[in-house]
Amino acid sequence: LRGIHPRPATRANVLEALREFVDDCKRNPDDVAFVYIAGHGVQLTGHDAIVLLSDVGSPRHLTVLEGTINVTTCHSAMSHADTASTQFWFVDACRDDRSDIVAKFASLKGGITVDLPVRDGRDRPDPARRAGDRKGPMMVSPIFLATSSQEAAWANERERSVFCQALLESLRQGAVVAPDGSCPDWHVSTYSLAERLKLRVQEIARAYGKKQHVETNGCWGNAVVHRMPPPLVRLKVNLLPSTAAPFTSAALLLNAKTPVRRIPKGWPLVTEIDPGMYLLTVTAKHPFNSVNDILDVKPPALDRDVEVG
Amino acid sequence: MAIRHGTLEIFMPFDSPVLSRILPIEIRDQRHAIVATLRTERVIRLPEGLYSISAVLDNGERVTKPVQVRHRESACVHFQLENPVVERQCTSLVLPSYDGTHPFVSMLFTDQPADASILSDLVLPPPGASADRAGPRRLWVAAASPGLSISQSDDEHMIHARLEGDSRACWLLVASSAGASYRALPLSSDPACAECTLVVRSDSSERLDVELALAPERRVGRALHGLIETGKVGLAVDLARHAIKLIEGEHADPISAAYSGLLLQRLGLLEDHARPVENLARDFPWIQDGRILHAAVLSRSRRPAQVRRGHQLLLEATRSSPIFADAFSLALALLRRWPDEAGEAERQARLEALTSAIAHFDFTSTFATMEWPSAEIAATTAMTALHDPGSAPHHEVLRWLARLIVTRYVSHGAPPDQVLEQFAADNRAVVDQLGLSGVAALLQLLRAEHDVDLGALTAWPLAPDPYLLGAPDLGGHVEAIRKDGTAAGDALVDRFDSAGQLSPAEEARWRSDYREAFEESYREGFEEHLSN
Repeated sequence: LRGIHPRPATRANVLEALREFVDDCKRNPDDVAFVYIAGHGVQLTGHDAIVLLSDVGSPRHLTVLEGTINVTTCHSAMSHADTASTQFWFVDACRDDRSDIVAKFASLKGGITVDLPVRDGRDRPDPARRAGDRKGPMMVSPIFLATSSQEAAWANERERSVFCQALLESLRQGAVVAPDGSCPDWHVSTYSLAERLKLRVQEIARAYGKKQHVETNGCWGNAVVHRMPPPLVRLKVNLLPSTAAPFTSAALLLNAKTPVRRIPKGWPLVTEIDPGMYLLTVTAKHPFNSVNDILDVKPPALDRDVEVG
Repeated sequence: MAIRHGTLEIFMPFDSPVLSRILPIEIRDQRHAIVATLRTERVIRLPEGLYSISAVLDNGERVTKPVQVRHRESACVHFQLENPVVERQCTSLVLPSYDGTHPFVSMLFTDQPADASILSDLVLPPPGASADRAGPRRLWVAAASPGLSISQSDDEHMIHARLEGDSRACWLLVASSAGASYRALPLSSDPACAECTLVVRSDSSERLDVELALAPERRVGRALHGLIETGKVGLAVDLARHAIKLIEGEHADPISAAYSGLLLQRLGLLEDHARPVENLARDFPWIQDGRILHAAVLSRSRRPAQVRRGHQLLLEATRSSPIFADAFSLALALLRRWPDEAGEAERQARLEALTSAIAHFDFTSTFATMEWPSAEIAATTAMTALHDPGSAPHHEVLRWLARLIVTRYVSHGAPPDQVLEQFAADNRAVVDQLGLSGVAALLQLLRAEHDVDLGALTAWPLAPDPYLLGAPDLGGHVEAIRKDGTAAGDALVDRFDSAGQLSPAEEARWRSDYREAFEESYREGFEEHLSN
C-alpha cells in the first residue's frame, strides 16, 4: 500500500491500531471493512489461531501470550450491530503443526482480543439489512485463512507470500464471475473467491514443492468483494500438428454468428477478447481436416489445442 | 425475424432428491449471462446459439460443457463422475489379532493424564524393516472399539469396518512403521451406513496416510465433503441447511446431520437450526459432535439455566471422542471461551486433561484422528530395546528424529550450537527415552546422512531416568529394570524384592538411588559409544 508506513507490530501499536480500526468501522459510511493479518501464527485448534506480535516473549509481559493477537476472538467481537455490516478477513499466517508448542499454548490465555459486544438482541445476521444501514446487525464477515490446520504459510524471501499472490490474482482475474442475480457487473464474490483461492494457493504452493490449503470460517453469506468492467481474456489456440500451419486459416464467431475482427494471423493464435461463447472454425487444405470447436472464453485465460491432422 | 429455437437435454449422474434440489445446473448464453438455473435434469427449449452448461456433481466437482443449440434440433449434455484415482503404495495389510473386546473406549479423552496404555499393545516393525525396499511394508489394525468387525477387501489396500449391533461410537487404531493412528469412524447402525472403508494411500516411513471415507450410501454427507474440499462454500451451506434435518424418518443420517451442523457453526450460521441440533444431541447421544454443537447453541442463550446446561453438556461430551475433527476444535474453543465465568476451574481442568489429545490431534483431518510418530511409540513401548546397554539404538526412531531436527531446526536457521538444546527443550519426553548413547548416535547419523554437524555433546543435560520419570506404577518398571541386567540395576531390584512393600519415603530413596546408578551406567555406555 503506497503512502502507508506501518509501525512495528508491537502489542502497544497493535492495540492502538485496533482501537482506531474499531472506531473507523463504527463511523465509516461505506460500511465495508477489510482486515489482512500477516505474520507468524500458531494454531490452537481448527477454529482458533494466534498471531505472534513483534515483541512476543518480552520480559515486560506478564503472560506468555501477551505479545500475541487472537484472530478468532477479534473477529467474533467485530460481529455486531454497530460496526461494518460487510467485512472481509484474510489471515496470512502459519497454523503451526508443532504439537508440542500447541499443547503448551492450549490452556493459556492473554492474547490481544476485543471484548464481545453486549447482547442487545440485534446481533443475529439479518439478510434484510442493506449496505449503509447503521445500527443494524452484521451481515457477512468471512475469514479466509491462508493455511489449513497445522500447515505452514509459505513465501519466498522478499517475494509476496503464496496466499498474497493467489489473492491478488484471484481479485484481478481468477475469481471474476459474470453478472448474476447478486450483482449486475462482472465481479468477485465471497463464494467465487473462496473457490478460486483454494485452488490457486494449492497450485502455487505445489510449484514451490509445498502443500498449503486455504480454509474458511467466520460468518458467511454471498457478498461482492470487488466489481469491475468485463475483463479481457487471453486466448491461445495451438494448432496440431504445427506443420499444418501454412495450410490452415482460422475465424472466431461470437455465438457462432458474429465474426470477431482483427484476430491475428498465424499459429498459435494468441489474442485478448471479451469473455463469451465463440465458435472457432479452422479451414484446412488437403491432407488436413477442417474443424469447428466451441470455445468457452472466460477469465482468467483459455489455452486450447486444435487438431487438424 | 422469428427467433429460431432448438432443445437442450441434460442428464445428471445422481438421483438423490436432496442433491437435485441443491446442486444447480446453470445455463449461460454467449455473453455468460445466466439464461436458466435448473435443479433437476430436464429438457429446455432455447434460442439457437452457443451455451455454457455448468453443473456441480455430487463429489463437489464443477464441470462445464459448451454446447451448440441448432434450429429444430435437440442437443444433449451428459454429466458423468470420473472414477477416482487412488494412489497406492502400500504392499500389504495385516489384519489384527483383535477380539473385539478392547477396553479402551475413550482413549485420551478420559480424566486421566495421557492414557498411553493403548499404545503399549502395539508391536512395531523391527528396526530397519521399512528401509528394506524389497520387503513388504505393512499396516496393522492394532485395536478397535467393541462391536466392530473388520475385513480386508479383495483389494489389499482397503479395510472395511462394519458396525454390528446398535449404534455407538466406533474407532480403529492402525499402525505401521511410520507410527500409529487413531481414527473415529462415521458409522451408525442403519444398514446402509454401518460400513466404512479405509484406503491406504501410503505408509511411507514419514507419514501414515490412510484415507477414511463416508459410506457411498451417505450421498449427502459425501457431497457435502466434496463441496467443502473444493471451496464451494455457498453450495455447501445450502446443502448443510437441508442435511442438518436428516435425523428422522426413513432416510435418517445423523452423521451427515452432525457434519452439516459443524459446517454451519463454523460459518456462523447455526443459530437458525437450534431445534435440529437439540434433537441430534438428545436422540443420538453417542455422537458427541451433536452434544458439542448443542452446547455451542446453549452457550449463546440469554437464560442462565440454559448456559449452565450447555456447560454441563460440554464437560460430558469432551470425555469421549467426537466423530469429526471440527467438533473437537469447537469443544476446545468453547472450553476456552465459555461466556459464563462460573465453572472456570472445571473447564481449565478439562483443557489440561485434553492437552495430550491436543498434542496428537490431527486438525487437518475431516474425521477425529490422533497420530503418534514411531518415535513416540517407541518411547512408550520399546524402552527396553532403547535402553539395553550394548544394543544398537532404534534406527527408525533415530532417522525420524534426525529428519525432524533438520527440517524444524537446522533449516529454520537455528545456530548449530543451540539446536540440540532447543530440540531437547521441545521434545523432552522423546529425548529422555533416547539417553546419552542414543543422542550420540543421533549426532553421528546427522553427520553421516544429512551433513549436519551440531558439535560435541559436552553441554548435553543428562537424561533423567526414563523408567522412573513420572511412573506411577513402580512395580511394572522394576520388571523393565530387571531385564537391563546391569549390576546396579540388579542390586536395586533385589532391594525392591526383599522390601516387599515400600513406604513412600523408601520408594523416594529407591528412585533416587536408581537414578544415580542409571546415570552412571549411561555415562559408561556413552563413553564406550564414543570410543567406538
